[in-house]
Amino acid sequence: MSDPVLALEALTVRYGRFTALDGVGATFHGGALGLLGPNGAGKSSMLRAILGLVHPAGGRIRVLGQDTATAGPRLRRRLGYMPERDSYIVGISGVSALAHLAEICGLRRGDAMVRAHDVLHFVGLGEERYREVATYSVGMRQRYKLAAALVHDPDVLILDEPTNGLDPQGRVRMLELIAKVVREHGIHLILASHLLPDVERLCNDVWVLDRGELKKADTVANLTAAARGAKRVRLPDGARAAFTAAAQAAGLHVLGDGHDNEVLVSLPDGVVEPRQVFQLGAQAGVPVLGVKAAARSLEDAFLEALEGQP
Amino acid sequence: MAFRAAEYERFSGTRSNAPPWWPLWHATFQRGWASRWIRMITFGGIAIAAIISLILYFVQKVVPEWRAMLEEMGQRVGGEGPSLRFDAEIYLILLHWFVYPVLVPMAMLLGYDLMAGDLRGNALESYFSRPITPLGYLAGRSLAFVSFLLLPTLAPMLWIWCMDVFTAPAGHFAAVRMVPLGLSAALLLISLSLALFIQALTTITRSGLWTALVFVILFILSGGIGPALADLTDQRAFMALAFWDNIFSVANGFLGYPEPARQHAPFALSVSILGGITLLCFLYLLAKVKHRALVG
Repeated sequence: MSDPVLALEALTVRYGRFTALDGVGATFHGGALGLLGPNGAGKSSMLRAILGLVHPAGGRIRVLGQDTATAGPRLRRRLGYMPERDSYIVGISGVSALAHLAEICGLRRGDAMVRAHDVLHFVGLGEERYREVATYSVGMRQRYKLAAALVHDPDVLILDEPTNGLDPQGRVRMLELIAKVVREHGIHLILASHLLPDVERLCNDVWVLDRGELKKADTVANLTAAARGAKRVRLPDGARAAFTAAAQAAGLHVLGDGHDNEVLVSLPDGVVEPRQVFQLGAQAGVPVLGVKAAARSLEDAFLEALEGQP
Repeated sequence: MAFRAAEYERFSGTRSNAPPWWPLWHATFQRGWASRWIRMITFGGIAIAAIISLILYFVQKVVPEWRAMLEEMGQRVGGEGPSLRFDAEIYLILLHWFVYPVLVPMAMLLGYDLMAGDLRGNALESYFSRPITPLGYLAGRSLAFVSFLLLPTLAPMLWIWCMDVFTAPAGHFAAVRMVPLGLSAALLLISLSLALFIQALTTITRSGLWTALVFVILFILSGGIGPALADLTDQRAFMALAFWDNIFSVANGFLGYPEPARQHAPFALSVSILGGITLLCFLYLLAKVKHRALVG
């Protein structure tokens, strides 16, 4: 079996007294991984630790089978990073900047320039390649950053909020470009986003982070498997805790949806029958006021993970 | 060439083993060369060398004993004072011709937006997610900067030295044989300290205009305060507060001249001052770059 693309062992990242990641351990074997979490969850810190831009306070990171602590900066030739913030070289054209960045990753000058032209055409900036990046619009800068991440042909693409600031059309185009690179060219993807539809569309694996801890690591398919069989249950005020306890004891996933008197119940793989819900209500001594079908999306799974449910 | 590929393609060529800072050196050099002013100053430096070389060549052809004549003339004019000789002393004068009209303006023109631009565009994040390290980044930028400063200063002066040696009668070489080493050491130290000092200034001011203004003000202020304190206290060590005097003493010392008159800073102190500025600016820049790249 080949080495995992990314393996974290008790990864801890601290900035002074603040702990950004606390003992995170998980393995990503390849394909497309989505890092989900609210702001401040530790997604960007994880990406920066993978790139060696922050030094872990503890634990190990292995990327493509190599320990980042010992592999040295040359490992970054195989990684393509698109930062969340704008990042460009002032005073030179887009194509010159990309060629320069490709050269730093080991491409020869001629090859680097050819690739810079090609990649800018690929992301749709062919006509704008001789303009300074500082003059690009927000959408163009996002595409430029994707081109910069791809120009040296990495094996792993690491994207931090790639659709930030894009209009709906630009977002769709960006997701298409990423999907094309990942699916048609076998480049592994690690995507940090707070936009669940982006992750659902591109990724096969998901890690949910919150306040520096890994809350869930599973496949998108597993997390959304219960979508077909989830039920929304309406309960009297104050009955939620008792019902939740009974449902969890019966092996169901229970997710609050923000209303005190409603919960979402689902099975990891199967359909929750209304009869089963009423039986649970009876067991808990709680009258069930209503049961209706509820789609269980990645968003539900995400919220469930944040609430610390299994 | 296969431009205009609308589809993504994997790269199938071979990769270079060049160190990652090499492209940065090259790009910085190209960027400098793109400036019309910098090209003009470079050509100016080369033109001075070419003119002096031609003069040396023709004077040697027409009046082969011109060095002896010049020395005699110097003795007549200077009386008991030191005679004017075409040996290392001439290179000391030439060095000042190259430092103030060529090296200092060049340093300002090249350095005023080098790192400030990278900080403004957050380019460091792009650099450090690649195989380059903060030390490599600083090395690439600073070496290119120094190379650019040496191109229109050291190179023409070495050319003049070659022409001087080739056109001079036997025995002159002994008088100037240490000149290339002295010139290289003096210009390297001056260029390196200027390059790092200006880059450090740009990271503080984040503006080319402010960098230029602060530099000029510091240069003028230090040039006034140093001599004033030296006069008041009768301690020539205070002259080391003046940037221009350190340049003078360093050039003087490296070209093998004895300790200059009491109105100048001691050689060892000036070397320590310029070396200290170089080291402090280097450490400051490294910390700044690391902070921006590794934590920011």
